[in-house]
Amino acid sequence: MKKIIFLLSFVFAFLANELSAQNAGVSPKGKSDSAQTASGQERVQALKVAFITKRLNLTSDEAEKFWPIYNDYQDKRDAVRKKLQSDYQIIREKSEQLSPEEFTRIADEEVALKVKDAALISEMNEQLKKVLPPKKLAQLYVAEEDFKKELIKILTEDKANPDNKKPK
Amino acid sequence: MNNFRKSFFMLCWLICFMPASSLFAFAGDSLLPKSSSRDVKQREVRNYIRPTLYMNFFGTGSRIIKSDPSFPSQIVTHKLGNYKFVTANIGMYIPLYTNTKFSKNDSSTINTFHLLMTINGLSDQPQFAGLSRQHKLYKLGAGLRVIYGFGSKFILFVDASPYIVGDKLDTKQTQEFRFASSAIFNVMLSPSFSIRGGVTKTFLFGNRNYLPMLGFRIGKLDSKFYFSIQFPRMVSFNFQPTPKFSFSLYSKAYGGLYNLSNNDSLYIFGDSIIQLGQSGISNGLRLDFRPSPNFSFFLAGGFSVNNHIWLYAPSFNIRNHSKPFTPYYKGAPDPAIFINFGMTWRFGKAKKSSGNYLMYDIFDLNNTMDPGDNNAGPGNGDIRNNTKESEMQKVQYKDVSDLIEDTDLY
Repeated sequence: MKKIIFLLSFVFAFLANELSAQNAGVSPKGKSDSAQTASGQERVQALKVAFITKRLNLTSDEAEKFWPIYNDYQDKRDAVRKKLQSDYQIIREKSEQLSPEEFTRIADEEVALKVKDAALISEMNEQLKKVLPPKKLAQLYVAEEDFKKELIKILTEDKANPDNKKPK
Repeated sequence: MNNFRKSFFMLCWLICFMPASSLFAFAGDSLLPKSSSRDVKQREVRNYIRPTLYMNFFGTGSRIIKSDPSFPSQIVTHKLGNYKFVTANIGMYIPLYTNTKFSKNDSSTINTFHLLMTINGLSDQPQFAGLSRQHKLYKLGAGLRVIYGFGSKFILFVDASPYIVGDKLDTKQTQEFRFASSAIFNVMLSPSFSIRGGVTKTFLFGNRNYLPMLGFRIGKLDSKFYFSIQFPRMVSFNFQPTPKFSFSLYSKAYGGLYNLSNNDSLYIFGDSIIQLGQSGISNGLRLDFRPSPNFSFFLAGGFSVNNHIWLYAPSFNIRNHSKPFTPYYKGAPDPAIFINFGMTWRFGKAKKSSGNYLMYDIFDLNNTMDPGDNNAGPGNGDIRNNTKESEMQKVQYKDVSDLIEDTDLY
């Protein structure tokens, strides 16, 4: 039985990465980046939490209510953006096979998704009005932009100076 | 091949393949549309708690058993000989249904309802040097648990863990149904302080106990340090220097109540089945390593103290008009060194919970109250501790590609 348990544990250690390939991407080398990306996205999310918390200087009471609302918004927004990415992918890869009606349908869907995206942020804004003072609410959107710019800066620097990249 | 082995294989098969085929994506799966069809549905992330599988191994060194000086006790002690204890445990929880709703009275508060299925299998080997054939005890169970987080401070937790226990030496006669359960109410007074209260029916202390469940935690679950007392299960002081490593100084209970084949005549008045109750406290240091969000493992070691062995015989209690599970023999094995290690796998994706401390408390409660009443859970690997801004340098383009738009570049 011990052998079985050991064998199972090794099988699962292998499968854990493979089975969680819901967000699988393929690297230029052809290997699945799913685990690395999942870890990377988790890191970005943790950094974003640290960045926004520091910027908005949230009190405990504010944070208790703010993060569930903000996380819920991000989940819904991610779903919309993934659908949009999926539409873009279809246009990139299958444009030869699609009929004009399908193009129209996709274009309409893209616009509908962008409208939904806007509706989501509007909904979150209304909810956050009950939780955050106006100053902090306004600062949230600036903090989001600044966080994104911070990331872009790092990524651009890495690309311009690949030698600067820290070894892993 | 006896029934235990068949049951174990069945459980492994269920755990390995049923969830894998029905809940998880395989390597070839993708969220991107397949070439044959444009109408591929997106996988919607519904759950906060990810399907989790864990395994645990615990073993102590050999030591003598002490008992009271009465003649019958000394005979049993002599018959048992030195004592050593080894246990292996496999468990899983799977979210079946999650509901997220904004409160009607206050649309800015999210309430979450989680229904989970729990599966557990355990092989327990109390090794008595004086017995010619060692008893191999088992426990297999599947249960349900409900967790309801409401307002921004409250959690209601209810767990029902039915299971069967038996002795492989005589599966037919020893197999019996048991039912452990817990109901706990958790109040998070602040992210750094939460209290818990409730009741638990448990066999962890070698008997059928109805105990109060009382606990508190000081320190944020994602901070460098936190201290937690969860009576009667564990006390721990946790140190998390990085998101990948954490250390824990802990003291926790282990044990169980099993039916035992009386083939060794441990009770000489004719019962074919007796019960063995055993419990101990393991005091040790645990190191957790979490190389990825999907996998973590731990290694722990220390001293097992306050060890007890009880033997119960139904006919003894009937004859003496005593309550069920009144022991006819009490033994106290000496303290011993123990080693404990385990692995945890978490599958699929979960809804975001960063910075949501009530959700962290839900995770902690779910992990502390392990499936199957063994007090050997998967650990808090689903709570990532605070990240330093210096980690920003490790971000790669693919991690953030969906966050960036062309307008962000000018």
